Amino acid sequence: MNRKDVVEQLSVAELVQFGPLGQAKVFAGEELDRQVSGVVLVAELEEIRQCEPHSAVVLHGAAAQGAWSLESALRLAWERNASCVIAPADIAVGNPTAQLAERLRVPLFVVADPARHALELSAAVADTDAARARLTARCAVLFGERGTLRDIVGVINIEVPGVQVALIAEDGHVLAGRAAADHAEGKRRVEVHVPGPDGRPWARLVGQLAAWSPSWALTVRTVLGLARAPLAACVGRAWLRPVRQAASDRVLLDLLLGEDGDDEGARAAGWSVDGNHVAVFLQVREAGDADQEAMAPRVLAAWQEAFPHLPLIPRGEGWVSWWTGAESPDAVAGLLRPYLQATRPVQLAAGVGLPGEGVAGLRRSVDEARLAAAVAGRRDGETVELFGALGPRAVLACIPVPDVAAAARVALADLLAAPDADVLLTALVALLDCAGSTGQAAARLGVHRNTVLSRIERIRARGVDLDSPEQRLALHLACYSLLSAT
Amino acid sequence: MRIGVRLGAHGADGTLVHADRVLAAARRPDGGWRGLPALLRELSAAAPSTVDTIDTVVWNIAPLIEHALLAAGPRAPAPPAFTVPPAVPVASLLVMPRAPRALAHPSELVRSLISWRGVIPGGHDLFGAELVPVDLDAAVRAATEARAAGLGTLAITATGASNSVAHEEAVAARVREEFPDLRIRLSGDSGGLGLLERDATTVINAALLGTAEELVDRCERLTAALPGEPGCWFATGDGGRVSAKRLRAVPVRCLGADGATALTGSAVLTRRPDAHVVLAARGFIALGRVDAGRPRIAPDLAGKLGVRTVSPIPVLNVRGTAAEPALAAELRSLVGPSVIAAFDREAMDIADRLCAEVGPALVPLRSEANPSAVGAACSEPSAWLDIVVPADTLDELQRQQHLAERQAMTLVAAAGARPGSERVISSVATALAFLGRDVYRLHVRASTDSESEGDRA
Amino acid sequence: MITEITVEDLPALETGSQLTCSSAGSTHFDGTLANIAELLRERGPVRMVGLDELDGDALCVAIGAIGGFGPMLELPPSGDEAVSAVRALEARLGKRVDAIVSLNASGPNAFAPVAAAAALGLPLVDCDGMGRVLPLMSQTTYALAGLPIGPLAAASLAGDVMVLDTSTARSELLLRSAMQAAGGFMLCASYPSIVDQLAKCAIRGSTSRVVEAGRLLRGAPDRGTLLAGLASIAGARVLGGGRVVELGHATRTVGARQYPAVPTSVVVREPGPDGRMIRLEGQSEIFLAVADGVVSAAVPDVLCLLDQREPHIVGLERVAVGNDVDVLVMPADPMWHSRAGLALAGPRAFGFPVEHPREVVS
Repeated sequence: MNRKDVVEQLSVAELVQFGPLGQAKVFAGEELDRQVSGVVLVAELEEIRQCEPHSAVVLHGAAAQGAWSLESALRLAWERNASCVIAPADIAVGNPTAQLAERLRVPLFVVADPARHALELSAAVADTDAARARLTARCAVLFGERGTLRDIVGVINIEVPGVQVALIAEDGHVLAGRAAADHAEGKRRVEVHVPGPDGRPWARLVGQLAAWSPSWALTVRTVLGLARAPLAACVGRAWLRPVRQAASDRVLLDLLLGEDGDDEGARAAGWSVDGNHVAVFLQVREAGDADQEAMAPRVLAAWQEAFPHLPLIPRGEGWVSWWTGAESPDAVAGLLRPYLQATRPVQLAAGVGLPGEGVAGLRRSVDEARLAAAVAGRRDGETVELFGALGPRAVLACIPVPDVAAAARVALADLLAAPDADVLLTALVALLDCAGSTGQAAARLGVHRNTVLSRIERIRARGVDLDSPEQRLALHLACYSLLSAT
Repeated sequence: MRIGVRLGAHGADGTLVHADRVLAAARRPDGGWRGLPALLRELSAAAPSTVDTIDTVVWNIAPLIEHALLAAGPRAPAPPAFTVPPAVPVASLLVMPRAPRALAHPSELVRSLISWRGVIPGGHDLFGAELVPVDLDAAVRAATEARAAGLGTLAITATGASNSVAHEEAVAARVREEFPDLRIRLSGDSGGLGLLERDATTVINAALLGTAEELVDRCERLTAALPGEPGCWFATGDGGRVSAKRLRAVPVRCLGADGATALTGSAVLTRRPDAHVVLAARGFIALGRVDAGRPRIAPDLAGKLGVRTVSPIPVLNVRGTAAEPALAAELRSLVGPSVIAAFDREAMDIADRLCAEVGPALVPLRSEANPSAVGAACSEPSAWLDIVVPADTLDELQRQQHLAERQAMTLVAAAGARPGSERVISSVATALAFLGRDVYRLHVRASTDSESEGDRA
Repeated sequence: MITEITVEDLPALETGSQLTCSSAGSTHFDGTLANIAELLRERGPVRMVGLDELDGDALCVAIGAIGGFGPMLELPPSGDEAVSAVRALEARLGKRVDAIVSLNASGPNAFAPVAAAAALGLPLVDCDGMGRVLPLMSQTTYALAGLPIGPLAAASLAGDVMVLDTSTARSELLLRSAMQAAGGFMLCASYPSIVDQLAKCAIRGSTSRVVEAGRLLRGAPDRGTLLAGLASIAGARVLGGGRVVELGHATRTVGARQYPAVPTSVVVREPGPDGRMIRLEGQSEIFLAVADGVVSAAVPDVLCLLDQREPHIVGLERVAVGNDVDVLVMPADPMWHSRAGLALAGPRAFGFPVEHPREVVS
């Protein structure tokens, strides 16, 4: 169908997307597909009875006196098949009002100044095409000003609020944006291919529309299309450089951290050698050497994007970097977390050492970071461990987990034979970690305390003596190893 | 681990509780006070070695306190299993613009606790403005009369003391100058709205001071004999508990504790922290409610003594056993689970019939342990605030509410709660109607996180 | 027809008076009633008569208090406050008063005229001018028929007496300031009128209805009997019932400040997935019931909350989140449903810009 032939009305969703309701707080926002035929500013509740169907009803004055009048307005709007109700923010919308809006399926927006919004809404409803053209132009300008993948995708996610967009590599890995976008199906999914610097297909830009209309989908497709060229350019710059550099960096680092502490090359490379360092060690979770090689480009490229001023240098089974200056280990860990997310699907574990002065301090901090990373590697997900926070627990990293676990499987055979052995084991570790406090253990496991109590009962029933002090250390170690080994 | 003990007319019921689980229950139908050391020994001997020592003993002495009150009146009940010193009648001084036509208190119980009553000019309105100047010379004359009548305790209640205690304090200061050894209790200390309600609270409290002193002493001695220096606490009508020191000062807070602990205990024993609870005994069915393990309470309720005090007690809808068929229909209509606790053989029949009729929505309580003793053991330190404040704006109201909440939490902390565990259970502001200015009554209920203590496995 | 009020009737009078007083609900005025009981014991029962039993030119005054319930709790009226007010009014009028009528036989104002009649030794006429509690003294069927509110006299609990001689509108203003200054309560003797004038505009049988409702609330063996009885005595019907889920003070209406009250909003949630949300809006009294956004009942019809567990009225001063209640609605006297009646005491008079359900139907 030729859209020029259709007199198309904006949907409620588009009023949200184009701005007039962009900042509004929304209730019952599941049903935003309705078209809006016009905007009615209502000062008296009775006026709603005269509204055309599909109106956006804007309440002010006596019609917006309080929760009761808002509920009456919702009811009248529902009777008149209005598309949405817009109310002033000085009415506190409580649970009952929100629930009524949901039951009637009448979207309710709360804005600071309804009268002003009525004007903007009327303008938007009157000139749909102009509103859409302005949006597209604005996005084009902003793409030109952004230099990274994340920023370019971010423009779409910020400026086109009803749309979630993600840049997804051909292997399904999300490079930037909101992963949820990839779940879109049917008409609500808009997708364009993005070529790599070599011209071959490299990634897809996927958008999920909160609401669909033919012309709105077209507008979004146009915006995504406009983003393709800047994205491709960006990739070309970022891709290959770091990998070549890494090999030579490895040699320099070995020299720097070696017995002699040869810092000449490091200084020439522009690394910080003097001052107070906090070292970071990254390692790939559950990976062999070959995997590490294969994953290096992604790890390094993401690092460059996140921390362009810091080198990331291969060392042993992972990579090393360090912050020099005032950053505390805690702060460094905070900086690392978003990066660890960005390298997905590669799962990295990170360790952070204590601060150390000069080359000697850096050497120690790197060793500490490596121990901490080893502990982190035994946990699920992307984790950062601080050596300072681990204290003696860092020693656990050196335990031959597989051997201890094998012994534990024999010693705790009864417990492990339970149908819910995993659950019991987890509860046992939590309890031991919390020094026997069922309350804390419950909080840590996210279950009710009674649940913990009942699990303890079952653990005891399996012959585990929780109360014997001389057993406790061995039990703790056994459980720790079992959990780490699985 | 905690021990809860209920001291009633038919003996003592004790229970050993840990982390909301009953580890042991014991009962001494006779022997009175002399039987209690053995009861406590039996309970502490039942403690498993794996758990830490007994850290808390909570006593429900409400039945004894109620007996002491009634013992002062004309219809003294039969003596209970425990020797209890009766309440001692006191002098009551009302401070108000003019003498009421009916000077006597409408409650027979309160009348029986007042040996001498006088009125002197004074009092404030609800906005805090003085209605008439307080007559301190009249106060001294009144105290002299009371003294001549041989009374050692004076309860002072002034009109408007709910939000201006100036006259009560002025009278107290002046009377103290003349009679330094006279024990004086002020109604403003209990908060609440209503001259008669505060008067009743103050008189009952004052009359119980001697009784409480002796009962608390005995309980403290018994508690101290246990190993590990456990804390000695007393269950209160708001479903919480207060320290021995506090109970000596406000024994009136015991009123209603029997119902409150029975409700709490029934909820604990059936593991239904949010439920309607039917308490049944011979010729008596009462319906109450627990929310998050705490009994629903309100001030100004008449309770089983038939006197309204400002001290909160559980909301119990009492019916005769004749209401049984209607009750079954009502229980079926309730949202959420219901629990029924039967306290004697006759009530067990009622419980069986109701359960058969209502179906699985009604859970019968079956336990060797006495629900009231369990409820006492599981109670937490608590505080209740009932104040009247003018507030012309919503901001001012919120500020006042916030202040009241802080104060209630401080009371809980001062009672000995673990620091940081105190929290506000409910905070309600109610507008007082038709005053021409915005005046609110604030009710704040505070306690501790119920899982904050005794959770070591 | 009840022909006298005795000490024994006082409990029923108190309980019945709560039905049409959603603000106080079951607040107990033990002190006030103890004083009135003492008065009735001293002076004997109060004779209650119908308007038709009196001479057409007999002079009546309406007795009723303005102000809050809190002051009555802190300083229970002695019951003879009306004596000084009526004597002052008689001095101003130069005539003796022959009988007492009720300003509004609801809440504590149901027993104030009984005390006045006892203290003055006059008969009490079984009628009133509101049939409920309304916030303004000028919101009466007496005023609706054009009877002037004054001259009037008022007495405070501290013993102050004043006589006010001005227009109905200004009386309200002046009296309110005096009431505030006096501590939030004044007993008034107003609407001095002769029986022939009252015959056209008084709501008859008010005090009898209160006593009957009270006997029912105190004695009904079960809920069904109670509701059926209330339906026959007061035309009450259950609008809905459930649990109170929200209380609020934040929904002030435009112009609310002209009313001597604090806005309050109560939301009752009916059980079940299809249960309605009944929002009650009021200023001390409940004025509006909005069920799922539909105005289902409005002032001047009477709305109140009846406890589902026990047969008593839950007042707005006491209602709490979690209470299980039925919402009762009782039709106002037909005089209130006239155009003029709704203008004086319909929802719009309280700042709710909605039509009364009866207007919508018509």
